[in-house]
Amino acid sequence: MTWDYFVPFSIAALHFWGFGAFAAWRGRKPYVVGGLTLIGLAIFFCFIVGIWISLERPPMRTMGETRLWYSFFLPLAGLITYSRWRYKWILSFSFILSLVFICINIFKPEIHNKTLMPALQSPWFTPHVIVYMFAYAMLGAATVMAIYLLWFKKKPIDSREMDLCDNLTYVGLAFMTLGMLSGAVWAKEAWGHYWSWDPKETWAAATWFSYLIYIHFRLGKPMLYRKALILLLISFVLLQMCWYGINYLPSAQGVSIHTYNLN
Amino acid sequence: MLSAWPFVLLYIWMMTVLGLTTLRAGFPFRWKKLAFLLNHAGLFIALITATLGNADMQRLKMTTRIDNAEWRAMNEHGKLIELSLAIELKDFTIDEYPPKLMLIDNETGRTLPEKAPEHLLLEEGVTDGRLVDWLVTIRQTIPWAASVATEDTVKFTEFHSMGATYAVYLQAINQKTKTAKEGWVSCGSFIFPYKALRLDSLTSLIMPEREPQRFASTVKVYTEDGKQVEDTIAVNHPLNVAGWNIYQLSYDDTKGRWSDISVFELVRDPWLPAVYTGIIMMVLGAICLFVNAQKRKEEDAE
Repeated sequence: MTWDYFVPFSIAALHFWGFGAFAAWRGRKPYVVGGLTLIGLAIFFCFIVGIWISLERPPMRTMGETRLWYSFFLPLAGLITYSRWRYKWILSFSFILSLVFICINIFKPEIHNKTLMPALQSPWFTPHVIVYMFAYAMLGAATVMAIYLLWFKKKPIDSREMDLCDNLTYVGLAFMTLGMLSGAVWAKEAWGHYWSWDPKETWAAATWFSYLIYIHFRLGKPMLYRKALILLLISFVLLQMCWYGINYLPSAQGVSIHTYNLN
Repeated sequence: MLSAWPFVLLYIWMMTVLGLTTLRAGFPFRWKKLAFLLNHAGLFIALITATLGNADMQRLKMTTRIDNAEWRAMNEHGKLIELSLAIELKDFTIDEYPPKLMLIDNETGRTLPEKAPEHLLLEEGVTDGRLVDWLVTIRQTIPWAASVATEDTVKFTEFHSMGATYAVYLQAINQKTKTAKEGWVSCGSFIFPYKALRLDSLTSLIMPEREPQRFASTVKVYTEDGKQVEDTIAVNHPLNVAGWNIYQLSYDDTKGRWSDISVFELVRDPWLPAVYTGIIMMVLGAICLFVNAQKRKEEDAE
């Protein structure tokens, strides 16, 4: 399995996710929706497993590889949200987001290097990245919801819709916390200290605190919907900085020990 | 970090708020508040003890040479400190990935194509491949090679000793212009220079330095109470002896895999168990946060 097979696999997966999202939108039975989405996830996961085997290392090093996981977790996060709270449109949102990330991978492929530097050869590597990607997917869904409520919804915001934002953020933050803490324990193993104010760590901390502010703001001022939603958007911008923004920051060039995809 | 006053003020304010909130929620104790306490008290403990650890932690650098025992290490200020343990370096090895072939621009030296350089990884069993328009076929491979200068060119022969390099004899055919070139390509070592193959006026075929797969030092550590520990220290695989964590830090990079020195980082952090207590509490708290995400709302509704 090589990246040459990405197009057929992703298109097949996208079709099933699309049908699943459509079925959910039309209010079809949950098992139809779940079944279609799961088939799509299985197809996409087959590709991930195949590329994992052919690379002989976890496909998590380059940005293209993390996008692969992100495109996988978005429909999964959507499906979990759907099965818990039965929002009809959530799968359509996760489908569109996933489509965007798959398109980036198709049209802007990056260097596909088989090598993995010693610092990344650790049992912590896989859980650290997967947990973070899942958190990003959840928080991405919360962001889409926030954009919808802020600018697209004509009627006033319903408290149940704010609950969804809260729930997505709680789950995303929980996984983000696990990602950060597993990263700290791993850093102790690999670099000798659990926190070294590396640019990536600093931005991760900023993102984490920003989501904490959102949660506490919601508890303290539960009626100020729009302000809370804007906080959610600011947090997501910080998250983008942490994820890939620092690769373009002059202060992190050659300094951050977290930039592995730049050769 | 602690010299920046806005950071210190923010830190003190946050710790005060966090501490008081934890106390208010924790007394009297109720099981319902468990997740809250794990998150808040865990963060409080982790942040306080990490700050204390930052002040009390020792990070030393020790350079060892093969077959010599070393007991002195340098701190951040460049001062030598005598330790109560000694490290004897038995062996240092670097495992490397198979070499790669790449195209470069003769003028700029940049790898091609400009934005997303292609490469051909010479794994076992790989005898041919494509690089942009060039079809590359490997004719001969010498993993332990030395370069020999002949009258008009450089060739490679078997060489099983220190400083050996990797060399391949290959043929490259351009599929558009049908031009063919053949010759030796090598990444070189600290003894032998690298060898590129000039394909045309614009491009050359090169073998970049091989990427390391694993650095490892075999060591024997002697402690004050007469204990001897033999083990291997590698990246992501530190050794814990007598309260010190010993990390593989560096080596003589001019010699690469032939380095006869190994540099270790020795770290001692007496607050580490306390920090880990905080971290474990936060991990449990995060799991509760995930499990309770929906429940919390149902409770509110009641």
